Amino acid sequence: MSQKSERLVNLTIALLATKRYLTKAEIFKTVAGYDGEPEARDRMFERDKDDLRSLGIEIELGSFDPLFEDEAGYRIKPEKYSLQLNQLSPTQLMLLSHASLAWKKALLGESAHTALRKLKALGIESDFENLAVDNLVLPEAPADVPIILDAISEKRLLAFEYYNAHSQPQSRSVAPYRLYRRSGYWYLLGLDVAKSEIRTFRLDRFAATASTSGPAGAFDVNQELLSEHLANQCLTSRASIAIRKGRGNVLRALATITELDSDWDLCEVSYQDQDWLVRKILWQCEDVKVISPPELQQLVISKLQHLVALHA
Amino acid sequence: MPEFSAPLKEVARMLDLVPYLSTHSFISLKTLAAEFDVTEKEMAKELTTLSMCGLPGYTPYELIEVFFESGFVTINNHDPLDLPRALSFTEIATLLLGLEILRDSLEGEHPGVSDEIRDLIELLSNLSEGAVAAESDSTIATVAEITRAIEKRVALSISYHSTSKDQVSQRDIEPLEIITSEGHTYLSAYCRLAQSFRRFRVDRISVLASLDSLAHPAVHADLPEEVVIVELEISGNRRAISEELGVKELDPSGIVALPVFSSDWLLRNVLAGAPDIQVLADQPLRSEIGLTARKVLALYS
Repeated sequence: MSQKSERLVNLTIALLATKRYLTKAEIFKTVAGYDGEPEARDRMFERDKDDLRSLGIEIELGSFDPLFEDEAGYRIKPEKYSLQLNQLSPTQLMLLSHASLAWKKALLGESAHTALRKLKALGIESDFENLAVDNLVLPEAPADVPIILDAISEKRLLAFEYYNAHSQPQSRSVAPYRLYRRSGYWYLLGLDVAKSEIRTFRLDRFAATASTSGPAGAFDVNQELLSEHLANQCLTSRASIAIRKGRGNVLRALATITELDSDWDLCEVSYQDQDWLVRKILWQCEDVKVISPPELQQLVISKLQHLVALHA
Repeated sequence: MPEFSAPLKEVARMLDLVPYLSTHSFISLKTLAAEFDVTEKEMAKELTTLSMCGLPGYTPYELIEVFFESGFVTINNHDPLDLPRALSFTEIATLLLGLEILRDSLEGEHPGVSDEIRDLIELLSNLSEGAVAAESDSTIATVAEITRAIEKRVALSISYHSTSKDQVSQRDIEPLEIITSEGHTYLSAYCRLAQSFRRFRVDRISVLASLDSLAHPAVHADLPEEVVIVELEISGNRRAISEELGVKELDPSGIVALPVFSSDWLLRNVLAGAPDIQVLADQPLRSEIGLTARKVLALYS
């Protein structure tokens, strides 16, 4: 076991130190640990390259002299290898340390630990004492979070069972693009492979923990679809609704308000999700009335008529 | 976190050890082992392996020099590996999500620090190419503020928005504990207005001010609550309605016996979810729902 790690460290050193591309033959001749039959050596080298890549070390393939078709060689560029944050202030380092502690006991613990280790290697004195952060409020993170992060990072497809609108679990295969948290919920945004459309999924609607499937590098982010999707999310419609004075606080918080008469205020609401708005309006019972658009008014009326019929 | 094999973890540690040691000369073997989460024996073994690594040639001039026999570790001749390694995507994401919690928890507490946190979030967000984000969550800020009040044993003046009554009330409370249940965060507190123990949804609380210190912490006492079981049939967008009503598992028939604390709350839910919730047996409640729906319809006639 230590033989292998020794060889990998030596390979990293050699590829980092070289100013030009090293050919495979040069590597076998100079780097310690590549013994044995040529075929076995080749296989060993291929595995080593994969292993280093999985550790996040980028090995570049190129040729030294573009004018000659000489054999391609390998190197690791120091600027790609080294930490992206090299000019941190003591306060910034302290904040990053606290940020990593936030997850230390939770499921991203190992990443938090290794990230902090790399940051500490900068040798910056952190003014850790300066800030008392004793009661961080940790939101609950589902077990899917680290799996999704890995899948995004390695561009692997994700498979999971998802409760559809009828509360039935359905199998999904998704190329994961983004993970985010909003209003206390975690969301995955990605390309639904079967539908060829970008969709968002709420993590608490997963019927079972997600798993990665297939090889790494299985997709490229479809930038065109992604920007189109993000632009659509910003599209809003507007509705005019009347709200009884002193009532409907949730809706008021989202609206611009003018007075209609002594009992009612006129509120202009922007919304993206019609179903959501209808729920909020109906929740208020007699205290809210839709004025326009007419389709929205009609929708509210028909839902109410339906409800009356059900409870007659 | 990709589960690396033992040799790969060892390689990652050794690559991180070199820059760490170059900035932490004479660190004790014990501290070092703890920092890298291995035993002293394992650490000594890895340091020995490291001392057999170096530039091609591998003469004493090219090998990394490591000394640790005294119990304190120093390193020489380590140039090419002197660089701390780049953060991986998962590490960046972990820091980013942590910073966002920090931002929300410290809101209003350390104004100077907030700007620094924002800058770091932007920096890391660019590194992750926008693939990870957490929007500011006011519930975290409120929980942090309440937790501080519980620790300092002070009463709070809050405004509370009850959605089932559609009322905002201002009340003084003595906070007891924060409870998470069914995906929501609650504060259990003694309410001076109601003169009894109450449970509040934290996302509906705004803390207005800290009040007097409490001589004695309030003693927790759960009030018996009156629960009525109501039979419902859910159709249409069953997922959304089950989530609203807190129904964990829905029978394929859509029929559920729901414990209800407040009929007002249920009535509003039935209207909001119209026409996908039908109250089954409870005749008075069915009439009330029909009556309310007709009253709302009257607004449009």
